[in-house]
Amino acid sequence: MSDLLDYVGDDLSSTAIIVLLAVLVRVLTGLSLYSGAGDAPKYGDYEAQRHWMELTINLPVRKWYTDSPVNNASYWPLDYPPLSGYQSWLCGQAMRAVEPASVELVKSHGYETPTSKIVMRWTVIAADLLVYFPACLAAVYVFYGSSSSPSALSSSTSGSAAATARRARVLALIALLFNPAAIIIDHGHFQYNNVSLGLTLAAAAAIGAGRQLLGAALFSLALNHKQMALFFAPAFFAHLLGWALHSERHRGVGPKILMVSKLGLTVIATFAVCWAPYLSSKEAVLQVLTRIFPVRRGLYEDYVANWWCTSSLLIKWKAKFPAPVLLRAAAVTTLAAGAPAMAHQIMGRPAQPIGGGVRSPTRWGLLRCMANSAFAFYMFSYQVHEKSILLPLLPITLLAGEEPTLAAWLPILAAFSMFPLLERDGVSLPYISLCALYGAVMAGPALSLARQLHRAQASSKARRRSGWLKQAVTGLSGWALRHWVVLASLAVAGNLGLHAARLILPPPERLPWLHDRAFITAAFGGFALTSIYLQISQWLEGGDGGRGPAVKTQRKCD
Amino acid sequence: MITNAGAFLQLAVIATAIKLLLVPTYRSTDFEVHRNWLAITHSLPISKWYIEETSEWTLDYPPFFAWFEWVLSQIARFVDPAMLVVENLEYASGRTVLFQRLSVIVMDAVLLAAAYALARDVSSDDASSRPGGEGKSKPKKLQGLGLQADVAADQTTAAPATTSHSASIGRGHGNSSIRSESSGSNMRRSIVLFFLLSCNAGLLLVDHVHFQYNGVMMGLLLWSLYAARSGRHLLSGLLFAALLNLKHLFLYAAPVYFVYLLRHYCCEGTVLGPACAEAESGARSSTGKGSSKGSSSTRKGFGLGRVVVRLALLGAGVLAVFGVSFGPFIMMQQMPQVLRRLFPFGRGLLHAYWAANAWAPYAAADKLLAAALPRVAPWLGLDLEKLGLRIEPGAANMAGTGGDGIHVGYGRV
Repeated sequence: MSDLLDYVGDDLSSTAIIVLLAVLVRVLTGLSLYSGAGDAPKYGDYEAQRHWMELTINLPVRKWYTDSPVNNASYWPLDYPPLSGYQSWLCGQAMRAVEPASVELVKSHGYETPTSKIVMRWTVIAADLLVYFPACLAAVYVFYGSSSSPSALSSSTSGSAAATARRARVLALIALLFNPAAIIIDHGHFQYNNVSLGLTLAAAAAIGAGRQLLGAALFSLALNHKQMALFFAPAFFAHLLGWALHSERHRGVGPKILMVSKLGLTVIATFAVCWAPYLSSKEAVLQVLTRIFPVRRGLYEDYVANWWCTSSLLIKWKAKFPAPVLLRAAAVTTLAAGAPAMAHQIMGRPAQPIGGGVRSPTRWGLLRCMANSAFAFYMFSYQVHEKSILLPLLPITLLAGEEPTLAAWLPILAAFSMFPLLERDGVSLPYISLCALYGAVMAGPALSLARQLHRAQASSKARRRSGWLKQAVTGLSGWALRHWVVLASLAVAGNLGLHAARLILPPPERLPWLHDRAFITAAFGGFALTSIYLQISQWLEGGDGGRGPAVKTQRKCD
Repeated sequence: MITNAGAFLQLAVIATAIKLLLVPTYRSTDFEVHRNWLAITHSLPISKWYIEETSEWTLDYPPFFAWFEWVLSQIARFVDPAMLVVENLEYASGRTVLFQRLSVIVMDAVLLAAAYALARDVSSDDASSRPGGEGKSKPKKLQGLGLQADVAADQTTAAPATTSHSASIGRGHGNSSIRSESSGSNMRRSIVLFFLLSCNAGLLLVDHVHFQYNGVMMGLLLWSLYAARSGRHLLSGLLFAALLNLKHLFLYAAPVYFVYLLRHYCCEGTVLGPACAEAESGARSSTGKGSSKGSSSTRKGFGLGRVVVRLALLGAGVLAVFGVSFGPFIMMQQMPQVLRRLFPFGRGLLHAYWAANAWAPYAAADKLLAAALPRVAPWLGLDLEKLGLRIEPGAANMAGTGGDGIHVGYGRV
């Protein structure tokens, strides 16, 4: 089947074109409305971000998290960690340079002019260009190599293996850059997820390239930009611990303890740098913490496609149990869901030949663990909102070269799960555009790459080396690939059907939430299946050479 | 050979996605122009279409476009009836904008389909082989459908991709060596062609930002060209005639079409035109005589009768198209008014925004002179009045305004 990506390589000009197209769709998405547009008196996330710019450039740093008449819980208090504050300050400088009235203290509440909107939109694009895009390029390079890396040019690998590797690279880059859910939240609804996601991605890339300390520092920065990055914390913790314990670079108890403490010090130092203005007193630290973690809200808000909200159709959690109990239940289930993947990483992988000891976990294991950890939090944590689906999407889109079909449809399902929110924001048209674009570009190549990977795994040579679990999974994916037409048609029909019902049929009087419920229940089904699959495939990672010939990059410092 | 449409579908979806994203962007006055025409064609009888003047944006496209707007207005009725009220000047509700923008996007299907047809045509060009490098007067329908047999079997010369019918014998002898790569590069060429036609940035800006309906008209032009490529010249001419009645701007291509059709359609089979289909197959069957002019035994002299018949056929067809278009207005004796609307020469040589054509440097020089002469003349001791040069006040204003004429010189141009 001929498709466009056959003609796209990973040379400089192809990459440049992909990047330019990515910028174009972001600029065009920004033409649409945003969260809370024209919706006095509270407005929405766009106004929240503008308000933070107003606060940060008009108030001294130490007062950013202190309650005052101009800065309190009644009107969008700053509730992200300090790095977000610094970033808002930078953006505020840009706003003040172009239109000073847009960030005037108090007077600029609800400020919505065309020029200020353009500046706001461009600050998000600038954040993309400065943080997210470089991180994507670095991550794809580290995990998939490039055409000029020695392994790709080895004469023993056939041309088709090189072509597969190239296809994997391009697919991962496109999945990362054109993720419809991420683009529409950042450039439509209006947020700056790209900064913390980009820093997280850079951290994964650093770790993958063998620079674990740098990775720890970068992830700490990501945490300091948005506390939602905590979704990934167990994964990074487990992986780095596994690495510290099992890496061949430091044998013996002494060096291991030294490594762990070095990692700890890096994290603490990064936090200290970010929190520097607030380390003067305990009260200051507490002030920031209470702003960042407001525990007064409920188990879930609006409609989220996670376990608690979806199952509340049958079990009314909020009515049956008091809040502290639910909090504990959420913590326990989250930990339980994330524990297996963490264990896998801390345990490391068996070295070859079998019985020769334990080696540190692979970087692919890190990515899968990130996905599992993020899904565990999304599914079971307290106060999750629908935008959090962006977090599991990050490692999955990077994994597009290993799990092509998953990377092809999950972002679309994620955008689908957020549709009630997007509809309220008035960004339905970009939603349709971006999902259609993503689906059209990814579907064909993902399918052909999946087939190639499956062929390699199902070959008799690979089968002899695989355990029962791997063979079961391979069999299942083979079945899915053979019946992809039926599966895809059902999925598309379901998607369009639910949208059509929402558009045409008014909900019955007693059940005004019917359509929203239908959306998140369907999405939950997909997410549940995905997370089960990811949990299983985590345990297949790093084992007996289950890696197909898709990615033959150097294993430098696994 | 293209047996599937994968890459083309992807490009089409990408182009459509970008167009959808452009829906909320800036609209020019042309948006109101088309809304006004929707209203005029829907709410008023035909007799009023070219007379109506409530809005300053009067109907100045040929009748087929008016009918096109009429068809659109039948759907607009269900979207937002208020846009079809002529008095609702500048009416631009959310639904109106969405409807009009979507109508452009949907009608672009004509362009996409034509681009796809041409791309497929181009990709099958070198794959077909013909002895003696003939022109393309033979219908290519059969070849376009993917009959691969002759590609593998026939190792003799491949016809060059041009439609130049005067290709000499023996051109393209050595092509068999690159045939194996040709299908790959053919595919690439056809994808590039499709991309250039469907993702044309200029067209995107004019159609989906500024707001116009050039996509469907370009599509019609491409279909006309496609018909010509596959030897259906009469159809090509009729399609072009229809296009002229959609937007008379395409008159610039009329001379070319006239000459082309005269030669390739009317004079087909004569000494002036290409060999016709029967002559070609006749030439192939005769051994060793792959002459591009065909063997003389199949020629029927000058073929004047055939030329006349064909010319009459073509003329009748074109007149029929124009008749359907302008007929009602001829009967209502509105032709002078219609022509005044279509060709508003009173507007002046240059548009408010100058086009980058030959008049631009002329007008620029004119403005510079208008600014410079009054100041320089005293130094040079020239008396402009005596020389008969009149410089209008405000002529040195560099901003272009509507109705620009030439200001310096012997009276206005």
